[in-house]
Amino acid sequence: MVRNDQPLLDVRGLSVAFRTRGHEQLSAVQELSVSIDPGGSLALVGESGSGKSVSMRALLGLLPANAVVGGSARWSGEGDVPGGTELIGLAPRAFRAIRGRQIGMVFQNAMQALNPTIPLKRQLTEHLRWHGSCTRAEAEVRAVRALGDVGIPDPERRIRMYPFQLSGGMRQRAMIAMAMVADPRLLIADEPTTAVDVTVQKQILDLLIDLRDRGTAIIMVTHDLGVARYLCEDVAVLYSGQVMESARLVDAVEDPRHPYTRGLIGSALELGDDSPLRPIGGNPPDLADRPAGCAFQPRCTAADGERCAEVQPLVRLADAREVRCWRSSHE
Amino acid sequence: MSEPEPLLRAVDLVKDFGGRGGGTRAVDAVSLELAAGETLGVVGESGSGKSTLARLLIRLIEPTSGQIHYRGEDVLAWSPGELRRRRSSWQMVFQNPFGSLLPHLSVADNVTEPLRITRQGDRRIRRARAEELLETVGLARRHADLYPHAMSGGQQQRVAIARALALSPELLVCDEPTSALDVSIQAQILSLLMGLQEELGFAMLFITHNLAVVERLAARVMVMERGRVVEAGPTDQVFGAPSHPYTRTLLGSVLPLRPVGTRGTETTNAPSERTPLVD
Repeated sequence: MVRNDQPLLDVRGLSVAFRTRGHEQLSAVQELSVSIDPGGSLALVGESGSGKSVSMRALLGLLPANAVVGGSARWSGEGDVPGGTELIGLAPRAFRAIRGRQIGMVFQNAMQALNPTIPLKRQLTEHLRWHGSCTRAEAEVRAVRALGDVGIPDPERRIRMYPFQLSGGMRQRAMIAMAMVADPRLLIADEPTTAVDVTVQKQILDLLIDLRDRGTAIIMVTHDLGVARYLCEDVAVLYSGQVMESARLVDAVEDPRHPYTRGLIGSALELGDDSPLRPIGGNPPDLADRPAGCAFQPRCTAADGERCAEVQPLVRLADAREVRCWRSSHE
Repeated sequence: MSEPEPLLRAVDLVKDFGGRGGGTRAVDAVSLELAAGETLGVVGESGSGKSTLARLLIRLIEPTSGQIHYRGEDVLAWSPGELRRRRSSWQMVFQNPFGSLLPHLSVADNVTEPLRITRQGDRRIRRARAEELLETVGLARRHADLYPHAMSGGQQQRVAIARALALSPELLVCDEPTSALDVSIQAQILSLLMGLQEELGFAMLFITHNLAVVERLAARVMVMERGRVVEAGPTDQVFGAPSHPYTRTLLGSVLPLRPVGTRGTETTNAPSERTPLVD
């Protein structure tokens, strides 16, 4: 892969907070920095409430009006814009040229994401027509081809069906086809396989691998490290709205540096592995009641009262890793 | 097998669901045995009939045909009253903990609801039992007066388990009890169940789509596809040398985090025997 001097998407210091009725702001994402190169693959791994979905929705301008978004996200997928386009605060009209066209999206629940009252055809061609440059007939040809590409048999017939006429796996494929029909540079997939069976999960991930190998960059949001490992080169582990560790996925799995990453890996059950289960004790913190200092500290087996009570910066280590734990730079 | 009478024995269980355009045979001629204190894993994908089977076995729904014997007695011959009295030794833990708890009852009342229904103890005794049960599942006394919505998913599942244990069951049917929980919490709940089984000696029917969970928990496993058992036997044999193509497909769909051979190297975090529950 030719290494561009500029990442496809460069997120720096992204923060998201939600205004609540009690005037207090709930901070969901803090100082999130990740980047992805053209054709790259990044997993955002975290548990529910870690901010992984919220941060992706913030990039795409898809958060509700009570969200306060800060920081920067430079999008360089347009080619001719020097320095890229700033996505945070981008006007809705300008966003439409990027979202769905240059950046595709796949969500967890295809039944909810697809409109149940409209046949697939219109859902697959609508955004092509919207994004212009395409006649109705051309759009249909591309949509049928996209359905075929994602492994839906008999796409000419299926494109006339309603979402409820398809199985869960088919619907998820149709979602991916919908995202791919505009040939985006980046695909953001938010837990695309959580609602499907394991055998279907494998098929969908294989499909995403195909796309990746043909040059589409992929950001995969998942709670499942096994899924991340199967598809992605890089990982950012999120906890309570912060990146705890970012690294090459292989490195993070084989030599996790942050105690939370270690805990996640210790919690993962694997076939053929009879080492004792090592669950992480406790529960993730409430966003309204984060511990001072390190957010993971109350659950950390390696916690040291004084040092961990301080705010932990994300420290860059020698091997291009970043870890938010003072111990990592002392080990 | 000519062993002593098992705790639970089902023979040729069939369940048909009616519907427009013909019915569906959700469970098709399933037979199984479960010994006291044993764990049987049931794996399969959605639509395989595994949850229907669980509900049949504890007679939450009636089979179309087949037999169920509990300690040698014909369960299907029990009258509704008899069933209600005797069913207390079978309890169930469901996938969605919040959905399975009563939202308008406090945690303590949820946990002791089975005692109230079976008219055991007075309020004071039940309260004491609730606190005892909460402690058993790793919750604190102060959780007793909370309502389910104020707890995390993992805590709710602990409450559901405490409730299932209230009547000292001999059989615990667990239907995907960790699937709705976060990764770090799944391991907590699994080790809790394993520890409790060792301590209290109940048998478990453990339904899951997660093969690694079955391998960890169950000495024997049944693989179901479209209502039928396609393969059954000791877990290490079934997973080690699967004979049915569907079992092989399932095994082939597992996504390993650490390919075999690279495991067991990370020892930086000292494993703690008992996980502290901090929150």
